[in-house]
Amino acid sequence: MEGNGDGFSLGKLVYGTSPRRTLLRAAVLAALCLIVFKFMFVPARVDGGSMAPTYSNHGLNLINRMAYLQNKPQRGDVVAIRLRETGHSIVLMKRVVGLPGEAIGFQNGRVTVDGQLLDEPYVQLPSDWERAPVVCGPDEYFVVGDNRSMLMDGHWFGRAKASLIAGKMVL
Amino acid sequence: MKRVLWLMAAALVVAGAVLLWRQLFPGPEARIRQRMTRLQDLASFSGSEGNLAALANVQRLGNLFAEDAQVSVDLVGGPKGTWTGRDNIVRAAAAVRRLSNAMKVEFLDVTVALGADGQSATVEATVKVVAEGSDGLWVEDLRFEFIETEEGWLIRSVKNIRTLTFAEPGRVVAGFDPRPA
Repeated sequence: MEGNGDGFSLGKLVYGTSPRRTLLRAAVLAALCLIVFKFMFVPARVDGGSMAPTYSNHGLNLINRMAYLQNKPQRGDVVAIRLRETGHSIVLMKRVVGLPGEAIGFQNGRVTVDGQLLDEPYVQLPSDWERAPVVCGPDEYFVVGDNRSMLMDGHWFGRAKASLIAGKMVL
Repeated sequence: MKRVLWLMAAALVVAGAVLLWRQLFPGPEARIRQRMTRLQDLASFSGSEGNLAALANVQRLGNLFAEDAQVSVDLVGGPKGTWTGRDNIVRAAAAVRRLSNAMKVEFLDVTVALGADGQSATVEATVKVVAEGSDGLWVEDLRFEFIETEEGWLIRSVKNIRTLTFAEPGRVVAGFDPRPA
């Protein structure tokens, strides 16, 4: 590699003093990135406004795929839900409001759990949703977006099988 | 060294032959996947597409369906309905083209399960649609039933799969008295 009069070498700057070691470091770093961003913290781009105002459209986030290996989803968690068992390219981003066995409904846009209104500070947009409660199955969680000012028919919400929950949103 | 080179060359030739064979004589799954790709291409359209080209593409799209095919969808924030017969499906596809200037349709995570009889197959795919003028994308999970005919593998039915369900098949709690909106 070329150098200048002060002993500066571009080759050393790029490859380090030991190119073989630099190559090994780069390979380890690439493998680590692959493991971390493929299996542990999967990057996701938010598309749509169903989680507004908590999450803005086109924002970036990470899905923590390890979150539910030991623990089960909790009320209030924002989770990523696969559309089906073999689907992984697109996930739904929703908030868990109902746990297995609970009856979930809507009154004036607010969630009711077993007939009691749920305190939802994250819901800030006005809503008039009304829906009779349904009971979640033993392996089902009730999920809904924070933006209930949307038309009910245009909003994905309802009971999701636990096996479809891919992870918890990090940010 | 020479032997290794010969072995490598032979492996390359074998791999090339296998690829060529697969291209020339694709199996049922490969043919169904080709149909899905064709469907995706024909369902997509750009603003520069002329009327004649649009008509031809809609007809080609119709040819991917069996004569008695049925499309039954209940989409979140989208159309709900059932279209039976190739002609009705073609008309519906033509109507979709009038709704937007351009549309890009993409099938993701396509899985193909061949039936035990070898004459039918179930395909599941996530359809991603981006329409010009609309903010964001629209996704839905679809299940296709294919059947092998003299015209090749044709779509017999299309239904959407609901990931999240509200009332069905869960039990609705009795005695609910919603407040007036």
